[in-house]
Amino acid sequence: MTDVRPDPMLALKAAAVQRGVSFTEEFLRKVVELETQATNQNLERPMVQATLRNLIETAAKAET
Amino acid sequence: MIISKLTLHNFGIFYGQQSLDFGPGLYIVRGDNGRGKTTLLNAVRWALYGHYEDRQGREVPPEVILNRDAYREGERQFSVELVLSDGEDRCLVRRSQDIVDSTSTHSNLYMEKNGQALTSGERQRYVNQLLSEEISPFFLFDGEQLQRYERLLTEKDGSLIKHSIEQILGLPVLDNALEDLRNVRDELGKRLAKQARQTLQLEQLGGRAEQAQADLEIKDAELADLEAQTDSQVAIVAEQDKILQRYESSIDQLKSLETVEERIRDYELQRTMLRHQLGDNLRDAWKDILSVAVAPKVAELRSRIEKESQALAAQALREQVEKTLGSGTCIICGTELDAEHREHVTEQLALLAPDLPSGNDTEQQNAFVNLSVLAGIANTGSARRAIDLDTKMGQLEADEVTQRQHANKLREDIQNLPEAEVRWAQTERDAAQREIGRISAAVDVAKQERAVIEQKLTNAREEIRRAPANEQQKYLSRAIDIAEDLMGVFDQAKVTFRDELRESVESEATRVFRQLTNEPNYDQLDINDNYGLEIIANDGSIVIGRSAGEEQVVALSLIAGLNRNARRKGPVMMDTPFARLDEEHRAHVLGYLSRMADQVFLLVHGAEVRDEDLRPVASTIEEQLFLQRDDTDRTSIVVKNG
Repeated sequence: MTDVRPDPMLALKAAAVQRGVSFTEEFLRKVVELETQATNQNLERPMVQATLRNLIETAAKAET
Repeated sequence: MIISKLTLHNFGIFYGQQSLDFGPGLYIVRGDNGRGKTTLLNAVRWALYGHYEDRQGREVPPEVILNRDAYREGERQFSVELVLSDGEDRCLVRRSQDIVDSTSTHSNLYMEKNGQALTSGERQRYVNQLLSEEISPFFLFDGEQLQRYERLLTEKDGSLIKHSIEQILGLPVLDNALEDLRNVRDELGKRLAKQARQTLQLEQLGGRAEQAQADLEIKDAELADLEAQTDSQVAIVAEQDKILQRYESSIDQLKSLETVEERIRDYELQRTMLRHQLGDNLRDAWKDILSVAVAPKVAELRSRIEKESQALAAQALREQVEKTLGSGTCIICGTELDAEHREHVTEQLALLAPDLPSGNDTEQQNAFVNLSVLAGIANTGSARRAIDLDTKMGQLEADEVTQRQHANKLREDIQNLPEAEVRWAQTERDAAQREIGRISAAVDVAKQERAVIEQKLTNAREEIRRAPANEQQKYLSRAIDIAEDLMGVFDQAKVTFRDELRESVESEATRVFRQLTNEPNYDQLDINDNYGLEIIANDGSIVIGRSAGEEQVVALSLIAGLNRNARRKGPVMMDTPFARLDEEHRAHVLGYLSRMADQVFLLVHGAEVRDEDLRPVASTIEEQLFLQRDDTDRTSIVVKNG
């Protein structure tokens, strides 16, 4: 069966452009994949948030 | 996701242990009425949600679910085991129930995912994630309960079904991301405030930021509490709705009974008024009847009185004449009578004498008395009015009898309605609705207060960022910026994604609807915010008053639309789906079934789908299963390939 589902990545990329925020696609994809995995596997939220915080802090450190 | 294995143990009509393996594809399960088609559907429902309801929505007690033969043989346990395959994941669901005695049962649910047992919290979450109970009627479809689907799709407050559908479609990924980002942002904010307090000049700002952060957390806890209160009230509404829906037709009949009883009371009142009027008229009606007989007598009396009067007058005249003749002088004018006058008067007297009867005062008096009595007996119209009133009362009485018969029939129909329970459910539901309104107002206030605190926090953070800062503070500030930017992006994307999903469901449902319907005047389906579907005709108007068959086609189209857009593809199990479809629709649906989902079970009886109906779609059928009666009147499942 062909997958006809809308892609959340496309919606995120469009929103980033509209808001004038520049995130790399790789960064956005990592966040979405983390959240998708967390939702599908019912991962504990504190663990997911720690991973997300690391992602964000790494990106911030790289910039400053 | 597909059902890989289904094992029934003493469940309903299925005696002992019966096990079936499945793969993807279309399965046709055929059996006569009472052979266990609906039991198979209910077995899957019961395993997942622990509920087994009959078609009236009543919970079936465990002692009824347990196979009767097994019970007679001393068995007291029944169970259903499902193996669900979802890509690489394999999930085992085993629900069993022990009947300890007539008043006590023990239920047990065991679940494991990829060989790992799940905790009780994980089990509930995982079932919701696989196929939440709210959305399950669209996947575990009972064609005999079509009105339920209509209600699900058209209910005014469709928030429950909307939430469940969006879960299936995958919107929670973005919702969860937003929640996680908010937490990360707050955590980074706390660290930044702590850092700032270490620098003397930033101490005050850090203090403000920390205070605002603490206030924000209190407010968030308040909001979470209000949301929990809302959830609990929504659950009450849903629970009471279930009761009200179960007795919906009886409640309608109860309302009809109240109307009929009101009408009967009205008839009784009208009849009482008419009875009074009838009494009044009957008091004078005898006059109308007697007046017919009395009229000639009155005329006769009048005539007699007139004659008597004339006789009396003549008698008086004769007496006067006789006196005049006797005295020789006129008694009126006193004139002396000469011979000529005397002769003339004598002639006149002779003329009077033979014709006139002698007058009688007594008779005349009696005649007057009789006339005055009889003249009062005149026609007043009372008898006519009494007859009209009586006719009217007869009509009312006949109408009242009809209404009383109707009321008795309604009373018989609703004799099993637990009126007190229904009234209590209605009261509870109304109270919960009012409470939801109250909480919603409190949420609005709390959100406004939260926005003020958040603004304070943002201002404090901004000032900290502008103040001279060390490297640690700089990168924390940047991390907060990134988290906030991400929140903005996810928030906006959520709106877009939701719209895209809704459009995609609408488009897929429309595509399927066009294949299934045989009505050339129908153009498309239109989806609303709650995923309810309207049929749009070629002229752009909404089709109202859909037939049961159309309702079924719309529900099937939505199932197809959801399946194609769902984050996880569910198996579709349809019990008696063709009962309301004509032959052409049935052929269309049969042709489409194998494309509806990765795994489809069609549960039908012989008259619903015949061998010749299946011939054109034979290549799409994975297996046919027959629910057959064996020598001991037990149902056994026989598999026949393709």
